[in-house]
Amino acid sequence: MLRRPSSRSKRLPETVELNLVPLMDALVTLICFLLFTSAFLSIVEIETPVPIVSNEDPTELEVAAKPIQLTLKIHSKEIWIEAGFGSLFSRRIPVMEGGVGLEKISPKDGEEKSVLSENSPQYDYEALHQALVEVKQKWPRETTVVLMPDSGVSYDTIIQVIDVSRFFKETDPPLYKKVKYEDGSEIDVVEKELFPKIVFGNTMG
Amino acid sequence: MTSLKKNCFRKLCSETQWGREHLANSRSILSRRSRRKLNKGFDLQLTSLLDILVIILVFLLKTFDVTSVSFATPAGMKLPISTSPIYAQDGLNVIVSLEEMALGMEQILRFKEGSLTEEGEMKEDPIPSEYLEDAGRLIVPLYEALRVKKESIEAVAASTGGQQFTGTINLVADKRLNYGIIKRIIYTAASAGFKTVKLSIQKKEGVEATLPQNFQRYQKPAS
Repeated sequence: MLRRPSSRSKRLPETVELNLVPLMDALVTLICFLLFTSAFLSIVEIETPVPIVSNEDPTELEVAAKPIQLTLKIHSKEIWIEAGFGSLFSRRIPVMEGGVGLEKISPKDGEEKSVLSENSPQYDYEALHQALVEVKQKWPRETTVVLMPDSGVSYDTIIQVIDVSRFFKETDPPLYKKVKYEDGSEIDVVEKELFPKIVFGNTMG
Repeated sequence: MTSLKKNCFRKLCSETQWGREHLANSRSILSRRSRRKLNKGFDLQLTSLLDILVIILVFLLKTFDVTSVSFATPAGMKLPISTSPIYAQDGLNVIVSLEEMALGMEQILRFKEGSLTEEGEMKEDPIPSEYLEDAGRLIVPLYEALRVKKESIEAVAASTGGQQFTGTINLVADKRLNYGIIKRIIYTAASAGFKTVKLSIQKKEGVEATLPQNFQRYQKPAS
């Protein structure tokens, strides 16, 4: 007579359950910490030294740099680029015809739509940038641009003008500058900065 | 006889407190079954929840930014957007909205009501004339507040040997404001001894920013 087979061998292997609760506690704590400390809005800065009236003679370095006094005069209908007070370079960048601006259709719902309006001029930032690239190619050592906006020009416009004045774009023709190493060798490096130093020229006036 | 004993014992167990406790603690087959029923809890499936938490954690870690500065701005304030690649640093913030001007958390001037439209168009001078000096270029409350700040920074630096006065302010201004107001703030700051103005603006999405070369927040002060 056959014996009944043992039930021990039929028993399924017990599954091991991980205790995830402490791990979850740690993750929730970490998420709370990150939510409290992280900023979803990054703030950057543009440094602008205030011009100082000085009676001192310029230093040798300043004279050697031969500054061209590049100036951007921002008016309501145009931007003037001048170098050497207009003697070296002068160009007018008019506001785009039929300036396209954003106007609120109804202030209640805050909906915005592009409409033709004379009151919201659209400055031609691309043309301004191209003109500044041209200036940089003529005077590659120049690094400073003096801004002289009218009182009625908006702060946003000034920031946009600064943006197109400070750095080259990837689509611009490359400008090379020589960089010297300690051993005396020189290599050509692509210049990235256009006019990185920004000064407001009419804060005293 | 035996069955009578068993019946009596069961009756005793079911009717008295001692009997119920005895049943719960004893090693009989009946009590073991009931205990198994009692101990059987339900298991929460935490794996999917854990997946979600890990995804949120990865997202937060990607967007985490240790270099960000924090300041309170009035409701409805719009900052201009820029491609500037240098993160702002903590400092003395002059915050200007369409309604008011503040130095840090302290309100120092409230603009005339209705002088500025929602689009920033100036109907009249928003700063009351009694607060202006030097042919309307100097904003007196701001000048006085900045002078006090400058003196306190210099006093602290002299007594503790801590951070020296750098003469720098962070200008946090609404993008709809006119340059006429910005110009006066720069002039007032320069008159109070702050020779460098840093324009604090919102970073454009997709632009990589770095710390400025003279970044010193985590460096020890010179002994």
